[in-house]
Amino acid sequence: MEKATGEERRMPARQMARIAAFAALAVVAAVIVRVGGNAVVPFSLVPLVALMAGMILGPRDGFLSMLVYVVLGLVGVPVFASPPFGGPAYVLKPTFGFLLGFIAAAGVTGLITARGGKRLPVFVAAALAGLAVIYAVGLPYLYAILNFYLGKAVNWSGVLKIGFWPFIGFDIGKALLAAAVALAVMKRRGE
Amino acid sequence: MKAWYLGQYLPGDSWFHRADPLPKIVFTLLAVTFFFTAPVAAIASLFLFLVIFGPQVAGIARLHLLQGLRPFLWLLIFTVGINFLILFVGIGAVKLPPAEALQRAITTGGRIAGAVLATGFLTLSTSPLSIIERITSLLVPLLGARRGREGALLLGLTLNAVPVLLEKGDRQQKALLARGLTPGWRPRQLGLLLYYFLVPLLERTLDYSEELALALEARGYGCTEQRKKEKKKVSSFSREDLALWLVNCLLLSAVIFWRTGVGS
Repeated sequence: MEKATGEERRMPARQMARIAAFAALAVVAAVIVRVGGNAVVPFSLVPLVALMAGMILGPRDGFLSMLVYVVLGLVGVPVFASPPFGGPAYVLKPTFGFLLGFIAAAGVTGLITARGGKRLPVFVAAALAGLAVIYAVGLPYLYAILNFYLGKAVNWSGVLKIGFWPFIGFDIGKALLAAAVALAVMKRRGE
Repeated sequence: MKAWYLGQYLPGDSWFHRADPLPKIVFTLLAVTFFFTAPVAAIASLFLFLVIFGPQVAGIARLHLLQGLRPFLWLLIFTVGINFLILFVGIGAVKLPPAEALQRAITTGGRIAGAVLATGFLTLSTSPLSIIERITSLLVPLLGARRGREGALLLGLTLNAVPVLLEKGDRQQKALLARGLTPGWRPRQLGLLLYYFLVPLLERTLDYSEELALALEARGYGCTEQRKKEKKKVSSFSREDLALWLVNCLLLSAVIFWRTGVGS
């Protein structure tokens, strides 16, 4: 156990290592599947990692791991799924909202599983809630950037056509898979 | 996967290796922005300069620099191909003659390749530790001493973990293939494959994090006394830094020139 003195209370080494490992896993997920990098919204496995981070690490650490992943990309390391793969200008990309959504989703999934217990229905509900959060943050951001920054008059139905309908089927599959994988890992490790 | 740039530092004694990591980080950001804003002739010029003279100027092995493009090869081919099809066949609003469509498609591929190449100069010439130290020095005034150090350490640990996890993923993929589980696009088949891929990978990730935590504690992480004894490093502005900042000024001017529409 870490000694927490009155002068300085540091994050325990185990917690820090788990956060870093999941942030790195998000990088790996982004770089191994870079399909459709040219589309407005690319296919990515990062949502899967974001949901699992919340379920396995808990709300705070899951949130922090995704935050570290996004910050790493924003400081210029090429860790995101679509070109230019990183840099501060990425905040102006229409899909940046989905990255912010991953941070919030990890927190929400973690909160639900921490309160609901280690049962498959709880994990599935948490994963689907996390998915809803990703879209709730990502789609308005996509709309705002397309309309107010890029000056393209795209209505909400257009936004759903670009960023929701082509991906929701896959994403529900990913959410169910995330729930099953996270539960299996936690049971196998006795966490 | 081993060719991936992240965390792959190659020690050296060139002026570029000796320069402060901060101007190198800024150089990477500006070069990436340059590749995504400049016109085709400028992109080609900088790309060729980085490939032909870059390794000699910066003292980085050309082979390692070019190897970093290998993981992106399929992405590049896919990008060029899909762009050519869209522009030539006219799937989008624009339909172009074949030569022009091909030129535009290659330009898009060149932007991605250039951006990837530019990041190689930072990662191949700078140790993750010195990047962490430099980011710490920037974060401490912004977030306070404790959060600044923790934030920088988290970024550094993540950077170091990426090649390790890539290798673990690669090994897991080979193990699955060796057991006869082949990739398929039917939902059930894909789901099962991902399940059998992800469960062991996550377990190995968590095992790795336990090892990392032990290593951190063994190196005195969290020991306030030891940290107090550490001497504060005095950073000095060297000629190498000056040269790199001048290069950055040139790149910034070029980016502003094209971004504001003056150069178009």
